Amino acid sequence: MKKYALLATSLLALGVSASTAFGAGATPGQLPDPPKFDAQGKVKLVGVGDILGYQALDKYNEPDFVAAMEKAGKLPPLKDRLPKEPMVYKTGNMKDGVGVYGDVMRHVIGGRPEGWNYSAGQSQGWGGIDIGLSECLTRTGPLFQVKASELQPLPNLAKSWEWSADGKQLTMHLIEGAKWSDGVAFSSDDVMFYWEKNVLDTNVHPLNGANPGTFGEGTKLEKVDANTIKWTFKTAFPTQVLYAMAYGTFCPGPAHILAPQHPANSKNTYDQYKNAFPVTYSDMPTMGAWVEVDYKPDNIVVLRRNPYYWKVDEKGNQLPYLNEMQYRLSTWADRDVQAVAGSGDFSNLEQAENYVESLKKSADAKAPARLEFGQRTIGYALQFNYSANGWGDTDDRSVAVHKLNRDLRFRKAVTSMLDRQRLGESLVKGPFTAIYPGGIYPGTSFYDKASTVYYPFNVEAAKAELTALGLKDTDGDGIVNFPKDVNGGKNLEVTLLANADYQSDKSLAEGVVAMGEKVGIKVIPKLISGKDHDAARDAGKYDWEVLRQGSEVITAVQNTDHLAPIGPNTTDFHKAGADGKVDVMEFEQKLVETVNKFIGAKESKDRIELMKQYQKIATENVYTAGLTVYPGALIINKRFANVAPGAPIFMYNWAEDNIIRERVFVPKDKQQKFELFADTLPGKPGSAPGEGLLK
Amino acid sequence: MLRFLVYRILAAIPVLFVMSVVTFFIIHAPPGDYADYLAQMLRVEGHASNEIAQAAAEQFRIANGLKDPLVIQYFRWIGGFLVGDFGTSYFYNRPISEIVWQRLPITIGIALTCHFFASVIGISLGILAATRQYSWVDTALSALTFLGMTIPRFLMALIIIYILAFKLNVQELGSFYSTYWSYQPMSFGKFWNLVQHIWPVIAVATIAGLAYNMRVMRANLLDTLNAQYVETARAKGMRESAVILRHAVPNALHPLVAYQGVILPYMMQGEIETAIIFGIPTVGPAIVGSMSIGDVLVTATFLLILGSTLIVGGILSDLLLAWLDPRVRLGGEA
Repeated sequence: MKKYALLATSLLALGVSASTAFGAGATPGQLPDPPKFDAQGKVKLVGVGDILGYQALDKYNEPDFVAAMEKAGKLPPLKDRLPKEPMVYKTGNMKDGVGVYGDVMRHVIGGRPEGWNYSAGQSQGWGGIDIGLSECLTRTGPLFQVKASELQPLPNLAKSWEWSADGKQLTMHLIEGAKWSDGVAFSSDDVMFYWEKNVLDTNVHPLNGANPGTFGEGTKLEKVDANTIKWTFKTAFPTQVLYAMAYGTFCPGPAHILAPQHPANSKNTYDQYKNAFPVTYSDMPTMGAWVEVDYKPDNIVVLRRNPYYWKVDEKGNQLPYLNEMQYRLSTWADRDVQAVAGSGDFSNLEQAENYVESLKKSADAKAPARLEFGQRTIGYALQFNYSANGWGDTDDRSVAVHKLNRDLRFRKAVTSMLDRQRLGESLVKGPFTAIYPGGIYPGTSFYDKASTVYYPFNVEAAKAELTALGLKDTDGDGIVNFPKDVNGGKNLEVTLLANADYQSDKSLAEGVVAMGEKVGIKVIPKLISGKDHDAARDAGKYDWEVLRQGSEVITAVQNTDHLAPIGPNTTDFHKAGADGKVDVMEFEQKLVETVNKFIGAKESKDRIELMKQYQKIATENVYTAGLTVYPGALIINKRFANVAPGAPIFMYNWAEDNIIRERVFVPKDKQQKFELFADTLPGKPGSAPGEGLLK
Repeated sequence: MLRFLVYRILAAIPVLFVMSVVTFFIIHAPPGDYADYLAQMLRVEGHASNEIAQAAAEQFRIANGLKDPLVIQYFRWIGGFLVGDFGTSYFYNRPISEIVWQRLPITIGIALTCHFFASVIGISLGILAATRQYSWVDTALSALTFLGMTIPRFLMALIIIYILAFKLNVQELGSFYSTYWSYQPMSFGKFWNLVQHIWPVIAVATIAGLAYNMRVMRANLLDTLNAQYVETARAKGMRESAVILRHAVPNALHPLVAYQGVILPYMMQGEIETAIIFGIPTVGPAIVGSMSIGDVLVTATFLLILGSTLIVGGILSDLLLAWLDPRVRLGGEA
């Protein structure tokens, strides 16, 4: 009996020592809810019909100076300038109600306009210039306030659409009787010119890269009548394309201006076509709320209100309320400074390090600007280079590390070593950041907490996983070594790529380096700036990367193909080798299948269910090791009204689109004399900058 | 004198050639080019997918000859440069010559203004310190020079911009004029608006320059004041101010004149560094901005033109010195 007791004791002791030696591996834990804070605006979720509709009103109004021009015979009557049924913004969805005319929104940007031919690929300098000038078939920016059950792009130039019974045809009805800013009628010919001579013509490359594949391989578009177009798809109900019809891939240009310069209709080369509307060609017709009227190099771009704009409020006031948009041509960093100082009106504050100082500043009654925090849509993840097919670095060390990256136990070790609370606090203290395990961002439409697997911070569990992989510190220098037959049994050294342009990226990378050391992984930071960083990333020259993620994990319906390696180069961190094939792992294959089903799903409920599955597979397998999420802050001058609470600086689109600038206004008592071209309207297309204005 | 001038100009040619080769090849060093920046903007601003963005980048490289061997790209650029065609900026989509003529004169103007203030104030304070050696004035001015010479200009600029924007609500930042004044014809009001915008740049660049001038002037003047002819002038019963200003100061200035050839690049550098922080559209932000996005022809052109400007400045300074000092002239002819 005593012998058995001794045996039992010995076995128990062995068990204890084994569990001490190897420890318990990483196990899922309870994910804390993101902290709440007062400065975060509360989004009021509504239906599409609560935001806008299309209807004729009894009476329409316009600014006094425009009415005076109309009276003097310089403009046709307003009723004739508006479409049969203008788009009407509902007062109930406007935070401060119906607005008044006047004033300016002063932007500061770091970009420079290349020219005005958006259809042929010229940038207008970004920062929302093109968003103000262009109108697209559908619109996504304001979707942050649309409830999930009605989530689909808002109608815009396409006022309505219907699917055929088999789901392979989509008929779209364009707004009827709308006009370009020079008074020429907008019609399906404009849409067809964009499609046939810019998208389908492989010699033309529209800005933001619209090509036939953007709308599904083999897709056809045809004109039905002046106000109707019909899409024909190869697959049934590819509802995703409605997002591709928004900014920035289906915003048609003025065919009556562009077509004569296209090589199909002239002796121009394609390069000449692209450059036919340089920065010195002002008053380029648009369907947008404003028209470019002046450009001074390295100084300013000025947009004036479009007298033919086709949107109104419920009182019949033609929009926009703001008469002018100004874009000071400076640097991107200067944008924050000027918005805070009050010489600019608008900026997207994304660097969390600046939040506390900016909040303190805005709390001052005399401060010109306020901060509007949206949802937590800025997020970072640690991405693993999964390619074991020759893509990227191919020396013995990197091959061995990439192999480890493909092992779930190793990824569990990495995710468990991360103290996300501390990582968030390294960016900003306070309730801004939240723990992010990976996958879809918490709080967004497709996020489901129950489907999210979270491996909490646990150094011992991380060490146990490494030990189980045979990664032990054999030379006593604090860093674990590869097994003898792998990479010569050297220390486990991992390169970590991060963008040196941003303090947040650097801080997080430094945090990961420190946390790696605690478990015996030597993380070597590769902090590289701008284009050099991008080149290194695109070439796969890294083992891990700290990356600010894109819209795919915010909305799931945009850039959906980034969610899994569904093509040879669709995923940043897992690309094809020289053979053109991606060496997808088993769980990645499941992600690919789920994403493909999601893309083809018609019903919202199916999409929601599929995204739950995606979240489960992605987080359970630590597809990426999430780090932190936090909200962006819109810095906006205090004089502006009708900025929706909780408008994110980036979600479905940038804040310049999200806040629906055409219905933003400045109350009379706060209006300033900032207009540079007061009481004027855009003039004849092709006028010299600053000249040719209608007075 | 003519031989001296011709010799200096001929000597500058190989320097410029080497400078053009080195800058061009360093700027083009991988990784990354403008097409990568383009792809980044498409991804970030336009929400384009990776494949679309990279395809657009590749189209750009082909269309703009970025895939040609670097040697060919170099000769294409330098060939145009020699006939005054600097190429087209990818970023601005404008001829680079337009950007150069828009930014270079104002940069030189600001640098010369800084130079003027640094010289006048620095020399005056140097005289003040030397004539009050070891007094509290001398000590205070020494402390000032210590700060001026040791605090990096970019740091000084960052502190000033923080105080102006975050603490004092100053709005005149980041350009030459406020929007309103940029649309007005030149007037006192417009000039004052210009001063409001560029004074921090001039102040920061001047403080560092004047500190150096002051130290050199103080040391020179102290040497000169101990010279025998100064004692003789005093012994003749001249007023002390006349002794200092008529006899000592002109002689103490000689080393400072020789120093002008060195200080001009220093002042240009000061203006460039400070303008980058303040976002004033001069040469500095153009060089840094173009380099960071891979608009390489703009960077290379500005660096070469800046190099040429500095060489010309050096030649002018040498000519001035040769004119002032026969020993230099004779040395040139020896």
